[in-house]
Amino acid sequence: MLIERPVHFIDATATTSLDAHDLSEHLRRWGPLPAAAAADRMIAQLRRAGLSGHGGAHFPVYRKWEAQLGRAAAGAVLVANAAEGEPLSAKDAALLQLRPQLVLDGLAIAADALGAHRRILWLHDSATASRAALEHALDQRRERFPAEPAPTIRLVPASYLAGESSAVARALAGGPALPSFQAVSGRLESTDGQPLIVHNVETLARIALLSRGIAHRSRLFTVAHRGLRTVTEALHGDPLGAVLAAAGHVEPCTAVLVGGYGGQWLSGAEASWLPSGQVGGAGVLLPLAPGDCGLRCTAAIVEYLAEAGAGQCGPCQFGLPALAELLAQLAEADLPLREVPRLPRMLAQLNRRGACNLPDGAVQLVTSALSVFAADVQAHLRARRCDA
Amino acid sequence: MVDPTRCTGVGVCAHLAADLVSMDDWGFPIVAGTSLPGNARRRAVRAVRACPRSALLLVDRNAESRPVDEGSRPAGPRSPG
Repeated sequence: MLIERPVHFIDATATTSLDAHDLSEHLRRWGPLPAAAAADRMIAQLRRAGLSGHGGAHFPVYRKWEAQLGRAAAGAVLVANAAEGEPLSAKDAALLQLRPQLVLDGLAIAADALGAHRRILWLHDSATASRAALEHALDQRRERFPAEPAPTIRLVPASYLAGESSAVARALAGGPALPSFQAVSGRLESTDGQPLIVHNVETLARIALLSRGIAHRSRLFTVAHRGLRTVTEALHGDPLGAVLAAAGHVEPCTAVLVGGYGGQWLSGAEASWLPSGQVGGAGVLLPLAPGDCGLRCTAAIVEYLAEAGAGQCGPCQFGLPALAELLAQLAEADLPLREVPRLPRMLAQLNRRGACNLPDGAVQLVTSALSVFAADVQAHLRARRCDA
Repeated sequence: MVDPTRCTGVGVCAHLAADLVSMDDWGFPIVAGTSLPGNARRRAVRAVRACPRSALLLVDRNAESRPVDEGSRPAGPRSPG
């Protein structure tokens, strides 16, 4: 396991700094930094381990590496992405504050294997505790491994989209940290046509473990409950109730939002087990307490997403606020019946219409809410009341 | 395909290639992602060239979605950038 016990967060700061590993503790716990391995051997290892990206998209890591090694361009830029846009997620902050050396190991190993000449740590400018932990870790490393090329820290505005990979590419090229349209997907460039590889920091930490022969199948999850966020580690297929309980959430829940604001609701019955990577997104779990209205919660999230958009793509710029307005009416039980057909039409017109996946996430969230809270929808529409 | 960050919903494309481009409720084009036989392809090329925002791209799906006709895309800087 990466972390021995669940970590609670107050704002962006872990409350259990005692669990943090400094470099000596890190080397004692995991062993020395392994010698550089040939890229093709590492690709075989990544493939065998089934490692996929832990930023939310779960793209197989070995395919990213294969694509990079197949590119003719010399040199590459490797970004360790800790700008977790999901407002409820704290797992990347937990890693940086408790296991920064594992992230830095992974960054060094991946950069060597991929021939990256620039290494960048991508961080929200509001992440002060994570940044301090990282700077301390970098200082220790400079002393112990003076030959290791030092990564630079790049601070970006703390927005929902600043860690989106095409936004990383655009910011590196001197533009704003906002998504850019990619006609050819999965082939990012920074400046001067240099290939760009973006890995989430948990992915890098897993690479550091794999290089030491440690192939965990566990993942970090953030449980959001009672205004708190708790990061815990679990295996795909673990009982969901046990994972929530480990994070301190023992109350019953009627549904769970899995994957964050762009994720999906699972009903209490569906949510017996931890979902697989694809469904789990970046690992956010938000249990809905009895008495809370799922439609109201969904409407608030869609309103957030509408405001979080970059305002670059028409369908998202106009469609998301329109969708948020319809959902607010539905949540308040005053959506006129004649307006109801607009909902599925709007969802169809929003899906996959942006340069990034923000509108798609909103569509997935609302689609799941309309299904999981179908009985509430009927009560809100027909009886004009909320039974929650 | 449409570059949604460039498109401002001018609508020329929907006039020139009505069978290939429909408009959503907000006036932005939805393009069919299907292969284009001769005549349709010519109309698509015309729509691509006519877009004042250079927001339309014709792509060859067999060649990893590489743009095959950049139309009248201006030489100046564009996103990503």
